[in-house]
Order: sequence, then C-alpha cells, then structure tokens
Amino acid sequence: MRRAGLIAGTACVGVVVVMALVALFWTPYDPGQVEASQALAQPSAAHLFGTDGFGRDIFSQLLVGARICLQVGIVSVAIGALVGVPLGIWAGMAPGRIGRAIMRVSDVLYAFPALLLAILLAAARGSASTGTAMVAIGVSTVPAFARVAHGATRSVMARDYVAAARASGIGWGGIARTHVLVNIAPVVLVQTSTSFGLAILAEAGLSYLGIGTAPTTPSWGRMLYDAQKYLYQAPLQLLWPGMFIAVAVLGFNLLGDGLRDALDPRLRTGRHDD
Amino acid sequence: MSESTPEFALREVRRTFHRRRGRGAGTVAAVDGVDLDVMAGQRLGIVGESGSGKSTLLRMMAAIVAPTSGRISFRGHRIDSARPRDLGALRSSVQMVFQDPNSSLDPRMKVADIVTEPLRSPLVRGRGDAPADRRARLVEVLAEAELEPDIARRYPHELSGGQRQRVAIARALAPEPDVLLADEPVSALDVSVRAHVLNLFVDLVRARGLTFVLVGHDLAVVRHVCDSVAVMQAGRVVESGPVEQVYRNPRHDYTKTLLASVPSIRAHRG
Repeated sequence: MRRAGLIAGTACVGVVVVMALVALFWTPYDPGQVEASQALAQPSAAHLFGTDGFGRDIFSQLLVGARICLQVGIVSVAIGALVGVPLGIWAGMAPGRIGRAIMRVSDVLYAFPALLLAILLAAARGSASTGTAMVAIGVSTVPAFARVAHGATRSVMARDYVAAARASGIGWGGIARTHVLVNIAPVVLVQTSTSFGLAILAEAGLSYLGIGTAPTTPSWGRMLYDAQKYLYQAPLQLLWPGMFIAVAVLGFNLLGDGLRDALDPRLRTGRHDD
Repeated sequence: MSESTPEFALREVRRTFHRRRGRGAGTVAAVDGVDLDVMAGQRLGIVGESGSGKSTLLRMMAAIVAPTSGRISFRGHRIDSARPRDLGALRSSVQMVFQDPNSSLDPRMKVADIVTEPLRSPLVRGRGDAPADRRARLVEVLAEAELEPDIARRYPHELSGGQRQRVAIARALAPEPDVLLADEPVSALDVSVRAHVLNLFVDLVRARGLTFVLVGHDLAVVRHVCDSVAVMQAGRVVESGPVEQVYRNPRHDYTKTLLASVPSIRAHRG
C-alpha cells in the first residue's frame, strides 16, 4: 500500500515529462498561431482540448506549457539546492556561533515571500519573465534546503564515523565529501521532489498574476489567467491547465512522500540506538 | 622511545559541557582536573562508572574533543590547542576504536573504503613510512583482524556485530599506529563474541608492542588486557597504579566499591 503513492506520483510526473518531451519535437499546431475563426472551439478531433479566445490550440499550448513547467521546476530547485545545501552543510559542520548565524539568516529569507521577491525582480529587470520567476522561486526555496541539509548534517556529525575520520586526520572538506554528502543525500532528494511541486505551483501563481511568464508563452498559469475571461462561455478552457497544474504538483508531492518511505528503512539501518 | 618523555602527558585537564535545557541545566564538568602520564608500551586501563568522564578523557587524548582548560601533550608537543594541521604526529601515530561499530562505521561506505580511510588522510600520508599500497594493506589488515578478504566489498549492515567491530579494529591498524585508544570496544557486542574480539586486541597489542589505552567499566576485561589502571570517579582520577597492586590492595574507597561490585560466580555444591 505504501508503494501506491510512489507509483501514482511517478505516473503523474511521467505524464508531464512525456508531454514536455513531445513538445520538443511535435505539437499539433503552432501554439502561438492565432485563428480568429476558430476562437473558443469546443473539443473536437481537430482540436483535442478546443481552442482559446484567440483560436489557439489548447492541446499544443498545454504540451509547451509542460516544458515551461519542468524548466521552472528544474532551474528554481537547482538554485535552491545548490545554494541551500552547501549552506546547510556548512552551518551543520561549523560549531556554535557561525552555524547559528547562517541559520538565522536563512530564517529571515524564509519569512520573505516569493511573491514579493518576484515583484522586486520584475521591477528591477524592467519586465516580468519566466527567468525572473525562476530566480525568485529559486531564492525563496534556499531556506528549505538549508534547513533540511542542516538538520541531517548535524545528525551525521554526531556519529562516531565522523569522530574516527577526524581522529585519523581527514579534514573538514574530506568529511563533508565522503561522509556528510552521501548520508544526507536521501533527505535532500526528498526535499528536491517536494520543492519541485511547490515551484510549479508558485510559477503558475506568479504567471496568473502577470509577474511570471510573459504573454504569448503558454505557461499553465498564464493560460488560467487568459481563460478566466471566458469563464461563462467556455469553462472547460479553465479546467485543462488547472487540471495539469494539479497533476504535476500532486505528482511531485506523492513522489517526494513515496521516496521518503522507500528510503527511510535504509536510513534507519545506519541509525541505531545511541 | 626514551623512558623520560611520556607518550601522553595530561596536566590539570578539565572539560565542561553546557546543558541548556532540562533539569540538569548549567555547567557540568565531565573531566575535572586530571593528571595522567601514559608511557610508551604501557597498557593502561581507565575504569569508572558511566558518567565518570572516562570516554571524554579518551576523546581529548585523540584531540576529537578539546579540553576546557589544562594541558595535553603528545610526545612533548601540545595537542590541546593545536590547529588541525599541526596535529600530524598525533593523527599519524594514534588511532581509536569506538564503542559502537553501528555508529563508528559509515553505513554508506564499503568495508574496503572504511578500512583504508586513514590511509587517505593527508596527515597519515605525510608520515613518510605510512603504507602506500592501499589495496595490499587492506588485504593484510583484514587478515590480521581475522576477517575474510571478500568482506571488503560488503556494507557494514551486511555484517555481524563482531565482524563490524573487527572492521573498526582493522581500520585503526591500517596506518600502522604506535598507540591504540579503545573506548569500551566490546561492551556493545554480544557476550558470545566479546572474548574473541578482546583476545584479538590482546594479541595485536602485544605482538606490535603498542601503547594501549582502554576505557571500560568491566574490571575483569581491564585486568585481562592491561598492565596498569586508573580509576575515575566524577571526573577525577582517584587511584592509579599497576593492575595487580590496585586490584589486590585498593586504597581508595571508590576503588573498593567498584571491585566489590564485580559479580562473581561461586559454585555451590549441594
């Protein structure tokens, strides 16, 4: 039963990944191709999910949107992990004041909403884009990674294998590489999956508000915003991007939880009573 | 190895720990003013009940824990306040075996990597005569610890408790140390394998003429392995001397209590 979440999560993520891959090579129509005569068409053989208010094919936009969604997830999680994990490890290995200072700074960043950061970045760059959204989401993901890495690092540092390494003169860098990184990898992996889902949701939210992906680029959040105008004429239009956002976010969260369960027993083999 | 300079010289060594939460909040002195000399070739047992500070003392000798005050010298050089890179002599000639191999072996490393880890240490390699061929040394040292060579490819969780502790011993022996520190090396093991692992220690220490410091609460074990003993109570050394003298003729009340509390099995004839 516990495997069910992992399988469902992998399936949901798989759907999104396949859509993004397909969009790289093929879409039924050019997702930006405007055809006024076809505006607000109902789903049919020609337009699988219908068309939007400009007559653009919704299925094509959804496919390309999957690519944007994964791109945002990958880039923002990479920013969060590449900055947050080293910071967390540093804080976990540095005794006393330095470690506490790093974590307090990270707490301050944690209190800073991604939305505000996105507005600031968009203002600073002159216009909102997928790029500013990715950076804003990435930066706001840093504290979550720092926290997870910090806690896991501290528990690793309390183990005697670290004391043994120190007793034979292995330096801090060596300990970080050979012991800490390897042993905190499972929890960081779980955090990566969970953060990925949150990043997708955040991008959809930012794009919906108009401070994320720019118009004409078919992001799922952007599609939600466009569809809202036709809520009463063509409610289905709103359903498709919303459904795929839900599938992607749910998928990554289930995958994260599933990984946690799958990796936990192996974590425990190394964590006996103290 | 001159008789005059001890391997380890500890003077008025103190170590306090801060407790922030809970009932025991405040400062606790784990080690409270210890003077101790360990001569080359000596086999010293440090005994005392749990919480008497003996493990902390050993960790300070290995420079894993720093003393709050006092001086610790290894072969005449201060190690209590030395920077990591100035601990070359200590790191390359002193190795430690810990109490619980479940904690002292990295669960994600194979035995081969665990055992050869000290050989990858820059301070050990800096010694010059350290074993250079890691693979050859691995085979050698596994054999000395009475382990099969094919164990090198396994992970710690695939081994029995006794095998794990022998892997920890193999790791400690790999860089050919002169001094071995052991923190209750058999108390986490099944009773059935204790004697075996303990005899392995005795054989290895005697065969190589190692200086040996054994921390333990089992007085019989210390008597079996060591030639001298230091008794600790509440962070202080209350009595020390040759094993037979202390065991036969204890002077301090605490030593008498410890000796009296050793369970003895008498055969009753009915």
